[in-house]
Amino acid sequence: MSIKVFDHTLDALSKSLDLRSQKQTIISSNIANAETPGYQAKTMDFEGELANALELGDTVLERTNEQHMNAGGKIDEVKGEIYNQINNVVREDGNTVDRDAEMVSLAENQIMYSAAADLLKKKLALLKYAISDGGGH
Amino acid sequence: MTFNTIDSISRLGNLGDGIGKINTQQMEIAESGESASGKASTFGDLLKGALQDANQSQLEANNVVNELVAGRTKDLHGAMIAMEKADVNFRLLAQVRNKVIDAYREIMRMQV
Amino acid sequence: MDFLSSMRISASGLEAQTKRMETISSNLANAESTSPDGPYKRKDPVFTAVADRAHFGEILKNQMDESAQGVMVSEVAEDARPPRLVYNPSHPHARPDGYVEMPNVNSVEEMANMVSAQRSYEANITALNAAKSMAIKALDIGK
Repeated sequence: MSIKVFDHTLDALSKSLDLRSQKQTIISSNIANAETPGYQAKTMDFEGELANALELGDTVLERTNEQHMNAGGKIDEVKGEIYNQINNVVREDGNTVDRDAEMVSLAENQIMYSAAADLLKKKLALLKYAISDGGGH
Repeated sequence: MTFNTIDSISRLGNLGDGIGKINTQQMEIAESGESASGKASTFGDLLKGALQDANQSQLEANNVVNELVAGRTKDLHGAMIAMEKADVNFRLLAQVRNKVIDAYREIMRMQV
Repeated sequence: MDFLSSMRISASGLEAQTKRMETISSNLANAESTSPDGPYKRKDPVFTAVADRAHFGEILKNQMDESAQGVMVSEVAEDARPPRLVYNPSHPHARPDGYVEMPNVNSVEEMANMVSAQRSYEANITALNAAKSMAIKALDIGK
């Protein structure tokens, strides 16, 4: 007998924790290399993919080939995309890191990570409460 | 346990009074055991109402959290509040259920 | 292990900035140093990005591994600009034509670099703290 205890939202929350911790590494790399000549600032995007996987859009996309990008339904497979930032920072040594923007990204990422961790904790606590017989008999 | 039994229970003033302490937005408790028309007055209705509330607020919380995680909204406090509401409603449901079971057991113990 | 990787990268940034401060201090301290072989030459650290690896020789497996890069001071280069010439025939290291070759250290430039190094250092500290608090938050999930 297999009872489905964990819903999509829980999966999405835990996936977003994964992705945000990876994003933290990318942001740290940018900050550490803010003065390295020729370094290209990187960024990581995953929210669109996650939205598709949660089927939040108006249309649910069908995937006709396994090789295609994740088009919906599989939260587990959301990987996020890492690519070079396109910004206006042009320095003579070729470095494209915008330090202030990175600090903002750092703060935002941390806050969203905390939020996801808290929400996850809340959901799990509720499940545990339900399982422990609702505090009753 | 059937709701008919609970129906008759609610006509006993004592138990109805005891449970009357629960005050929710949507439900009103009959004081003297008379069913008010159109309002929840039996334990069955109370339970159903609490169940619907809990379910509804859980679905809403899930929606808001999904949107937050997918970057569709930046409404952090909205998500937190929705989650708390779901939590409270669920615990309320659990307590209502407990009281109903208590009441049922009490009745079953009675010598008729 | 993502947080450890992030913290290692921030630590590499701190180390690089510290080395940079050291060269700046050296430059400032030796702004007037001369010798019979020539004046003190201004030094500059050269930063390079290095992929973060837990173990030396570990193969980079995916795009994420390649994108996580710390920083390293690959060399401390000498400034190639010509030395300042100051006319002072009585100086012990004066050239035959009376000019003394003084180090090509510009104090204003060094101070500006110092401020920049400090800002970078603080930024890396902030990144390190963010990674640490996220890791601690993760531990709280089970509590």
